[in-house]
Amino acid sequence: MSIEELVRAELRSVADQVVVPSLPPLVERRRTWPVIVAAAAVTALVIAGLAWALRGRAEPPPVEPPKRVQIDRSAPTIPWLDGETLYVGGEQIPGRWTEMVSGGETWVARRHDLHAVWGRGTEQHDLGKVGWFFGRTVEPMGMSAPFLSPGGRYLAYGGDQGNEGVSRLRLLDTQTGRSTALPARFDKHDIDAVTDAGLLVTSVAPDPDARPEVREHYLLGVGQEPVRLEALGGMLLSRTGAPGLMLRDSGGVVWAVDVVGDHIRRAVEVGPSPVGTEASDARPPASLSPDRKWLLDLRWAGEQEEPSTVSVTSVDTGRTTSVEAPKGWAFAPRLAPGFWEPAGTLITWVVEGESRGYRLARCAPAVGACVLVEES
Amino acid sequence: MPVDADADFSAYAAEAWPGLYRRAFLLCGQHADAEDLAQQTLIRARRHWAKVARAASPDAYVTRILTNVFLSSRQRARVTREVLRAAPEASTEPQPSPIHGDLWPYLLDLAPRQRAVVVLRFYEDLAEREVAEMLGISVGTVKSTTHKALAHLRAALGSREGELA
Repeated sequence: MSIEELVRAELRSVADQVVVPSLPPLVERRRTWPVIVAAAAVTALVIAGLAWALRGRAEPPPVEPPKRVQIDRSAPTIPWLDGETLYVGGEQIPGRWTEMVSGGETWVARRHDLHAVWGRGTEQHDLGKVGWFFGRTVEPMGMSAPFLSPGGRYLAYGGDQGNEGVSRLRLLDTQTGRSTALPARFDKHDIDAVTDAGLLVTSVAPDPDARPEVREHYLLGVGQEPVRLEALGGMLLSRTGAPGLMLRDSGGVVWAVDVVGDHIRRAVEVGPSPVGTEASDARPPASLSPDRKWLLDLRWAGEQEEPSTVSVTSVDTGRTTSVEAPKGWAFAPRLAPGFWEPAGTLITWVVEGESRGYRLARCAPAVGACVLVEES
Repeated sequence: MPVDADADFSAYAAEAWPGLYRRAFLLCGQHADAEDLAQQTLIRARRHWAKVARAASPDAYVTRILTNVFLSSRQRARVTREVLRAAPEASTEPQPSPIHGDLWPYLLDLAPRQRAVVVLRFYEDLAEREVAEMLGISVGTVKSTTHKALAHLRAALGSREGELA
């Protein structure tokens, strides 16, 4: 590597490590040096006299320290997975668990026997055997992975066997427990997203051998006529566990999309994804923070398995900024997608370089930093 | 400043702040100085907002302000630091994590103008001509400054490898 390349890489690396404080107030400094010099002696005398006269009667105004955001280190109260142990509301749920996603108080997890189980709080409901949770691939069981709406109101999943041994898509209202089967013609569709209004986005590849893959997307709702999402123009859909949808088009550009009712309210380009255009891997999904400000895709860490920084993208501006793992630790993006907290912080796994020990960290995209959370 | 212009500037400042701060840190090497530099840059940008907003690239304009504020502040700092000999009191503020990097300590050793040229050339990826325009110097000066800076870094790396060997 040439010295120029080394310098370029080093500057980028240093810039990525910098923790940016919040924007301070922009207060003008008055540069009235001539006046100050002319009045200096008089002012000093006046101040000295006043200080003597008023001593003990008035405290000087406190110097306000620069604002620094402290990230909370307390153990999370949202549902989260510690290895194979599932905690909900701070309580351990019996069993061994391999994957979990949550929305509000509702969670859905895959038990060690490959059964998907959902619950609100500590209650449990068995959905039967499922495949992988993350990504479009539904092997080895051939059933569509469960998908929870951002606030946890609705759960879409592949239920009992439908046409040709393919599971029938179902939509479950987690408040009432009522599960409804979707029309059989969508049996071969993948679930891409479900909204808190009970609308599903599904997709299917008319020609599975076509490269790049082109998919057709549909918006489905119980008792509603399915709507072909023509506006998406064959975009590849990447799953998201938060409000709105993440779409990755055939050029690798990611879009944040709001679906309201049966139409797209807006589509915002949020930047290129350096990991290619396929959304069909079994890795964690991209997600939006609950305040809809940040898009996080741990796969955007690039080729590194355990990066020390990851990028988050501002949905409003499309600009990316770095979030730094705690010092000496690295992100473990293949382990879990991270779990958003209502305050807009992210609970995610980090791994220590030397000991290979894993801990939970709480990350604040707004300040670009993470801290290790206290172990319960 | 009219209300609309003020709102425009506020939006710009909020968006530009993280990148500006990082650039400032690359120039200063210290968080306190970087914050001050980035803040002063935005204050100047606000003062001349009408001109900045009309520029073909407001970001480039603001980078020019940043670099010039940095270079002029270094000239003042050189004098000031000769006077301030007393050790500052230990801060009770939580300190940011130290920056890791093999070359970074040697980049901080560069003279301010060399560091500014290196940051503009290799972090901002500006052409020599653009760096010259930004700093108000000739292309030849940019070339020679870059050459000296890289020679210094190459030598520093070489001597370190010699020590390790």
